[in-house]
Amino acid sequence: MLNFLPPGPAGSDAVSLWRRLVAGDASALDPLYRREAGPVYRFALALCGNPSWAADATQEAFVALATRPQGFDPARGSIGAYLAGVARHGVLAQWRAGPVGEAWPPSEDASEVDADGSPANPEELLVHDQGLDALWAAVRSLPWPFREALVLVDLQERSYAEAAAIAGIELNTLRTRLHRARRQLARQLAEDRP
Amino acid sequence: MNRPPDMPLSLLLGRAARQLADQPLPPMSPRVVAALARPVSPAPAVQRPPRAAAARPWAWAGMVACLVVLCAAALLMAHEPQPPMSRAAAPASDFLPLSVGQAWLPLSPGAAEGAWLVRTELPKYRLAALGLPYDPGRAGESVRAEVLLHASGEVLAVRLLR
Repeated sequence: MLNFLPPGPAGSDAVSLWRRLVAGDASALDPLYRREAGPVYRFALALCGNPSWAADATQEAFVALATRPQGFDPARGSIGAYLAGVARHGVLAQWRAGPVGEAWPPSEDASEVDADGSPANPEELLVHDQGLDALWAAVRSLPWPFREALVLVDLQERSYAEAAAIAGIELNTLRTRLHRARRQLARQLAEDRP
Repeated sequence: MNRPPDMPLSLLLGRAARQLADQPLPPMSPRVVAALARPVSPAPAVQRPPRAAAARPWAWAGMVACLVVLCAAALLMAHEPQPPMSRAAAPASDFLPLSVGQAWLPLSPGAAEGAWLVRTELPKYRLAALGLPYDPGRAGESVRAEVLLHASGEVLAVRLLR
């Protein structure tokens, strides 16, 4: 996992913190936020490309957890997946309501993308020619379900099971969406090449 | 195991993943800070039994409640003319639960969310949907009822009024 956090001292794992929250211990929310908010925010950011929306959705997820911690059921998945699922709804609602506005990430500096001379390796050539801005643009052009699957599995390196739980879909549906997302992304990037 | 995409694309995705992982977390918003400052409503720790076993007590309670309400409603509709809405209304039946399980948990004492008792009029044909008898010849008429409405909008229970 990219956002892997080392296990903390006893009682500081997410579920223990959540149990304290359910028992009325508000001090558990702060460590829970520091532990879980990063992956939730980055998931929302990669989905919508708008830092403000992503921040709002992340905050909403934690406010929901703070006000009604019983909404999370440990038997149904991790607390990170639960929070990401709540944030996903927030992003989706914003996305349906209006245009994205500011886009993340900003375009790369041309000098960073096109290094001096042509790279000898074809793979390197492809990477340098297309650059991350082209990739992000292509990700944004994917239909929402495909984009979501790609962000969860390829950009956040979540397991298929966790990704399916967050997206609220069956495992096979996730696999299909991911396959189509990768294919569509590759096609899009190939078309964008000069 | 996840099946990796084609190599060049996987390289790009790897770079994008690293770029994404490097994004700093925005500061906590005042709303979350406020939520942190507010004491969380304690709730009884719920150890869920397996789903089927958990459903049984509710199912039995629901069936008993349904029977009680059915009898009460039958008596009510057979003998009681419908008074005008302006008159003070007394309950004519117990609450008929329409939702079970987790939806009731927030109603525990001290919970952050609550429920509202909303007075309304139900078309008689809707009684059938609640499992209550009604006269099809008077399906267009209404009966007065109170619904217990959860903060989420879910109807938890209904009771008929005189």
